[in-house]
Amino acid sequence: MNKILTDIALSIIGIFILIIILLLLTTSSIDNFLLIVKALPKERFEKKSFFYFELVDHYVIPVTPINSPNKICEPLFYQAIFLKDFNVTLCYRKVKPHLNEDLFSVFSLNSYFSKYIKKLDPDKVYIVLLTRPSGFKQFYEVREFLRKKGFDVGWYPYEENTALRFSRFGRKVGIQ
Amino acid sequence: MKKDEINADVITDMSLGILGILTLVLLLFILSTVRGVKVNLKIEAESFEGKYPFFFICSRERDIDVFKVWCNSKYLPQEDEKEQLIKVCKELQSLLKKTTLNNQVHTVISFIKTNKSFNEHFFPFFLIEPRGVHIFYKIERELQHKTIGYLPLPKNINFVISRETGRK
Repeated sequence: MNKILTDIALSIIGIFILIIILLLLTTSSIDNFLLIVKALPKERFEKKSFFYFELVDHYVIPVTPINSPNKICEPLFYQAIFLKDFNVTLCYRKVKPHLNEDLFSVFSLNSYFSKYIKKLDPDKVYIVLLTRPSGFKQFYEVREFLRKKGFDVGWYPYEENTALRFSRFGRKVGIQ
Repeated sequence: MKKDEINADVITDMSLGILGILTLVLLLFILSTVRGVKVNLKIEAESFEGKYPFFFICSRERDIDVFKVWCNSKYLPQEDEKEQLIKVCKELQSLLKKTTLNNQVHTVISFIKTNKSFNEHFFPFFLIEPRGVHIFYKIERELQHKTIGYLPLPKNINFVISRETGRK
């Protein structure tokens, strides 16, 4: 009988220790998610050329074409429609990133984002993240990643299911 | 060892095993709930050309675009700036009380454009909630020629606005 009681008592102690360890681990992982940002106004002028990425959920889709200089949106991923009367181009996404985690996830090393970033020069290019509400949380991580690579980064919010809109003169988004 | 003693041992081991599994399931459930919610965002307020950010939260409630004004002055380093923030806040809040929810945007825009104290000491900084993108468009269009700042404010995020610490 005593042996059973000892076993039960030891197991309960073990479980409590496990709970404490897991709580400590959880608490320390919360600290890892502390994001620090500076509240500065956006800058007005930027001499580098703009390069746009769309950030939706945890997917990053290149918007600016890297091999088609005459196009406004990357034809691989977007259908562009030019509205002559308004001098505006609307870009509709034609790919479904959630069906291609490997190619579009921000965490994937094989993603287009990773490949494009390797090709871009931080001294010549300024990156703008066109961010959907579903990508708000990921935004800070992506921005930090790009900054560590030496890029200046700006952003602009887009409602979830609207087309990307570019005027003839481009969208001017300052660094922030 | 008697047969009864063996049975008792087996039953004890089994119940302890079940207890352990249940505890683990419970812990995993708690952890999965906690993860993803406890992201903390620290927004450091820096002065820009002698002016400090004045924070507005762009949001949407019951299908109406709304502004929330951040009137906690702790992020400001000096007493006179804190007093200014409180003064400007009171002024803006009293205007907002007099206006309907539908007219809030117009009120805030004209306040930002015309209020002397506000423009002497602050620049508007918008924290945009996922449902607040629409209201931000309205205000950005109207304030094209003003110095503004904006950042996304994700859902379920704890955030603090603090003084700059000099960390780059």
